[in-house]
Amino acid sequence: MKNKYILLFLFLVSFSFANAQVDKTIQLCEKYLVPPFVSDGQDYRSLLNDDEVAEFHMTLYGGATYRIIACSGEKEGNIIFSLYDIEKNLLFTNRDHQDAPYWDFKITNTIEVVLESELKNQEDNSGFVFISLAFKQNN
Amino acid sequence: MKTIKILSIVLSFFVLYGLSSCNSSTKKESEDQSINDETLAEIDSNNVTIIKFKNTLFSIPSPYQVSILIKKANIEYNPELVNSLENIANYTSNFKKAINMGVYGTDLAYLNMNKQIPKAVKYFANLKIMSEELQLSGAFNPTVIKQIENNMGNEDSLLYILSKTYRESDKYLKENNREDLGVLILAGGWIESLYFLAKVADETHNQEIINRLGDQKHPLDNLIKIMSQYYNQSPQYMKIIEDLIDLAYVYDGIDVEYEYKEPITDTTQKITTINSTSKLILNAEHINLIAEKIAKIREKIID
Repeated sequence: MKNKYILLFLFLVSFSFANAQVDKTIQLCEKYLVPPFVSDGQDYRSLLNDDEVAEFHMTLYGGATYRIIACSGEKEGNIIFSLYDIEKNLLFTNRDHQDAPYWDFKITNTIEVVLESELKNQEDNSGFVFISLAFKQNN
Repeated sequence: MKTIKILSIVLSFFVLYGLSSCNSSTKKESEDQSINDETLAEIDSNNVTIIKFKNTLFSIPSPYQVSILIKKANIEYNPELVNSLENIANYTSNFKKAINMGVYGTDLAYLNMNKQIPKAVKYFANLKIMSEELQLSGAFNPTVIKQIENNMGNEDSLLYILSKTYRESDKYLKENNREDLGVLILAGGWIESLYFLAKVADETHNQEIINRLGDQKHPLDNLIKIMSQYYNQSPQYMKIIEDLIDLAYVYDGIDVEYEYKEPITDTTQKITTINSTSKLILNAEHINLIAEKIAKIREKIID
């Protein structure tokens, strides 16, 4: 009986610890989600292990400017994200820009893109990846 | 062809959902497993593991961008476009409440963009009621409500706060295993914005609006993919997904000609300009059909 309570206690402690970590990661992302950038109203998250890659399919409207923010863990630069068009042409990768946690995209014509994100240190890492997509107001 | 693809996606989701939730006969297990293996094998193209379904996210563009575009195109405010406030009395199920929370959110952005403040306040009152009934007070908390009320008429700030609040709601629902309601809010917002686009395109023949109407081809595919995992949840989910697939048939007829062009990156400004071009082949028949179908879908959800 006593063991049951200990297990329950441990579960609650680890649950609240995980939640606190998730909140910290979200705060990292939200730092860059500020006016004039407006969230698209959705929360994107994916649990990645080792060398898994999360795919994020989106439509970016012509004439708009977007900000893509990617976070994981408790510090910046934990995520590698790359943007491809439907023909798999590489449009951008933050790997070429010191693993920047966010990047802006000015879209000339409406385009379908796929964002691939993966953890930077694949060997010793697993965790949630958070992606935020925002559009620029009064573009 | 495209629709067959959509249907197969729906089927795959359905099978995978079934796989994760039940363990019936060995024969069924092996049949499902073979479909599962086939799906993953089709996708895994190199050494990197690309996990489909669980780690594939689909985005639906913000419905507020439609209101911004309509305003920017100098289209006159049309009070007939928005859902009636009184309809809230009909929304007794969580399904109806959630989907119409998306609808009223898009309406609120449209009213605010057009400086219809007294009306916008009433729409926000409806949103407050629905968020309480859906137990979303974590996102629509007193501080946020005060912020929204104080910023009525300030279109930029309101849009920012409203988008953030809908994102918080989405996050809250995901964290509490109520994603089935989150997708309905998303679907309601998108359906209302497509209704606006189709109505305005039909009435004004504005080219920018027509193009944006055509741009919804892929977001519609994405919405179907997001919703498909709930196909078996209730006849209401089933019906709305089937209606959206029916609408996707019309979009199948719209061709998109895409041409890749080298993007230009400005490292100091942390911005990349994407110059690729895409041309939509959309005719009057497409517009009429989309307008007709989306009006019917919307009527079913708001009534």
